[in-house]
Amino acid sequence: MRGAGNRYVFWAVALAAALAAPLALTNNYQLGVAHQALIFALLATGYNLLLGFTGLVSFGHIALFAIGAYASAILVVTFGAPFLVGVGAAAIIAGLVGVVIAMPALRIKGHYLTLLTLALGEVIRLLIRSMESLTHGSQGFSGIPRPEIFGMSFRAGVPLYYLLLFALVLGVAFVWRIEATRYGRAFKAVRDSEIGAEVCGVRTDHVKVLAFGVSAVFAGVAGSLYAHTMRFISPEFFSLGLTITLLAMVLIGGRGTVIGPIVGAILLISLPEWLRFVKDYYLILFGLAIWLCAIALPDGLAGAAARLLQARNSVRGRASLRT
Amino acid sequence: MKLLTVLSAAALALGAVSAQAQSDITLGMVVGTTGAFAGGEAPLVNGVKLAVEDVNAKGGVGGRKLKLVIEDTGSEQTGAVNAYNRILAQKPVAIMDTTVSGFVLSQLGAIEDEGVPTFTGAATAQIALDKKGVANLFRVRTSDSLVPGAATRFAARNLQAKRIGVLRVNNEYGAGWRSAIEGALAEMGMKPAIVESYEGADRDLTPQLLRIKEANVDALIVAGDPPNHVVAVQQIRQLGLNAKVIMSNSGVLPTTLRLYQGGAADGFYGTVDSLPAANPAHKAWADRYKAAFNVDADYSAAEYYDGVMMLADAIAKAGEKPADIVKALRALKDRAGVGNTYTYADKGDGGQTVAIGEIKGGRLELAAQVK
Repeated sequence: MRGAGNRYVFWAVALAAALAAPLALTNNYQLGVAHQALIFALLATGYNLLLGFTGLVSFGHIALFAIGAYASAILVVTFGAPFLVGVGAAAIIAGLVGVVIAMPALRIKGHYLTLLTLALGEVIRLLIRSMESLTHGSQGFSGIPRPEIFGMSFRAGVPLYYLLLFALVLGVAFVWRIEATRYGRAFKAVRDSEIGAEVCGVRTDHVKVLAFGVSAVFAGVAGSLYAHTMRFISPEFFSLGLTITLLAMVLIGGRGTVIGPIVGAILLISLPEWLRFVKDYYLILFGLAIWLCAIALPDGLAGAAARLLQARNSVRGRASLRT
Repeated sequence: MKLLTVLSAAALALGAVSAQAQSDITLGMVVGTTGAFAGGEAPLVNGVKLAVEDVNAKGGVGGRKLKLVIEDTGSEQTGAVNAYNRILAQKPVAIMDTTVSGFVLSQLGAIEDEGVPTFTGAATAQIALDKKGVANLFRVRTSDSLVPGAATRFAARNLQAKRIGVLRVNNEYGAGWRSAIEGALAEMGMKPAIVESYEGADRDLTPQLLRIKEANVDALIVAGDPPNHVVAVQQIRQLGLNAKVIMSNSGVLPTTLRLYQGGAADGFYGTVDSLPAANPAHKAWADRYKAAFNVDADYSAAEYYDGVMMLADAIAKAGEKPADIVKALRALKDRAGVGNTYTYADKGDGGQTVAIGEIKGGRLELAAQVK
C-alpha cells in the first residue's frame, strides 16, 4: 500500500516537473531538444509494450514510426486534412501494418523474428522511398505545418511542448492502466514463459498480435507528432541506426517498467547534446555507456533504482526489527 | 559631493554606451565539423574565417568587429536542427548555414519563424523562392536546377557522348540531379542510357558499375558526397569502365582530390561553380587562401567568403535589424564576388555560374565554362 502511495507521489512530482519545465527551457534550442525527448519517450513507451512487456524483439519499429510520419504528412499537406485526422489516420495505418507484421511472429521466434522484422522494416523504408508521387521519395517531404487543433495553433515552442507532453501522459496512463489488467499480465506471461502461458489458457497468438498492434499505434502517433514538429521528413532519417537508438532507450532506461523508456529516451536524446564537447569521441562514450549498462544494470536504470529502493527498505526493516 | 556623484554616474553611463558600441557582432555558422560531411564543409569554415578577418582588418562593420561562432551539425539531420537553434540562442546577426540540402530543408521552419538572414551553399532547387524557399534564406551557390543540366550538355556537346549514364546517391541531392539530367537530355531529344542509385553509406558500388559497364555508356555522371566519389573513382578504375566521367561538385573539392589514390581520378571531370585560382582577377585571393589554410581555394570557400562580404555591406548600408538586412540583400543584382555572381532581387536564386574542371596530376584545371 505504501509502495503504491510512493508511486503516485513519484508520478505527481514527475508530472509537476514536466509541466514547469518550460520555465527553465528559455530558448528554442532547449525546447527543441525537449520536443524530441517527448516524442521519443512516447515511441519508446510503445516499443516497451512489445520488447519489455511481451519479450518480442522487433527491428522494424522505426518503419512504423515512418509510416505514421508519412501518413500524417500526406493527409495534411497533400489532401489538406486537419491535424487530428492526420494523427488519427497515422495511428490506424501504423496499427494495421503492425498487425500484419505480427502474423509471422506467430510462427517464428528469437533471432528469426528479429531478422524478419529487420527485413520488413527495410522493405517499408524502400517502399516509402520509391513511392515518389506520394512520399516525394528521397527528396524528402517538406512544408509540413505545426499542429493546429480547432483553431488553436501549436506553432510556437511552448504550446507544442504541452501538446507533446499531453500525448505522452495519455500514452503512459494507457500503459500504466493496461499493466494492471489481464492483458498486461498476459503480455508478461508470454515474455516469461510462452508454454507456461499457453498451459494457463492464455491465447498467446492473440496476445502477440495485440502487442504488435498497440505498440504500432504508439509508433504511428509518435511519427505523426515528429513530422509536425520537425516539419521535414526524409527516408534517410528512419534508418537502422535509429532502430538501435530506440532499442537502447528501452534497454538502458529499463525494459518492462513504465518509467524506464521515458528515462532512456530523455537520456539518449539529451546525451549527444551534453557530450558535444567530446565531438567524435561521443560514439565511443555512447558505446561504453551501453556496454556498462548491459554489464552492471541488466534491468536498466529503472531496475537499478528499484533494487536500490528495495535494499534501503530491507535495511530499514531490519533496523526496526532490532529496535 | 553631489556633483562628483553625478559626474561618476555620467562617466559610467558613457563607458557603458562606449562598450556597447565597441561590442562584437555575432556571426553564426552551422556546419558539420564532425562526421561524414566534416571534410567537405571545411572549406566553408575557411572561407568565412578569411572574410571575417578581412572585414575586421578594415575596422569591422560600423566600427564593430565580427565575431564568428560555429556550431556542429554532427553531420546529422536532427543535429543540424539543434545546431541552428543553438546558434539562434546566441542572437547572431546572420547565420552561415550548412551546404547539405536535406539539413537546410529540415531547418526551414526555424529559418522562416526566426527571420534571421541565413546564407547556405545548399544547391537543391527546392529552396528557391518560387518553391519552398523563404525571403531570409540566401543561396550562395548555383542552384541544382542549373548545374546537372550544364554537366549533361558538357557530356553531350563537348565530349560528344551519345550514351550518357547516371550514378546517383539515393537522397534529396541525388534525386535532384537525376531529374535535372533527365530534363536536360529531353531538351536534346535524348534519354539516359542507364540510371543507377546507391545509398550514401554504401562502400561498394560494384553491382551498379557493372550494370553501367554493360550498358556501354560513353559518359557517366556521378552525383554524390565526397566519400561516395572516392569509392566510385577507385571502382571505376578497378572494373575498367572506359567512359568519360563527370562528377558532381563535391567530387572535385580540393579536400576530396587529396583522397583519390595517385592519379586514379586524372582525366575525370567535375562540376564547379567557379575556379577562383584559374581566374586572374581572383588569383591573389586564392594565393592568400592557400597560404592561410595550406589547401587550394575552391568555389565553396569563395562563395561563403562572398556571403560574409555581402552581409557586411548590407549591415553597413541598412543596419543590424534582420528585416532591414534581408531587404538590403534582396536588392542585390548581378553582384560579382570571388566565387560566383549573385542576384537576390526579383526572387533571384543566388549564384548563376557553372564551370567544368578536369583533374590533371591530382589538381583541377578549367575545362569549360558552360551555359
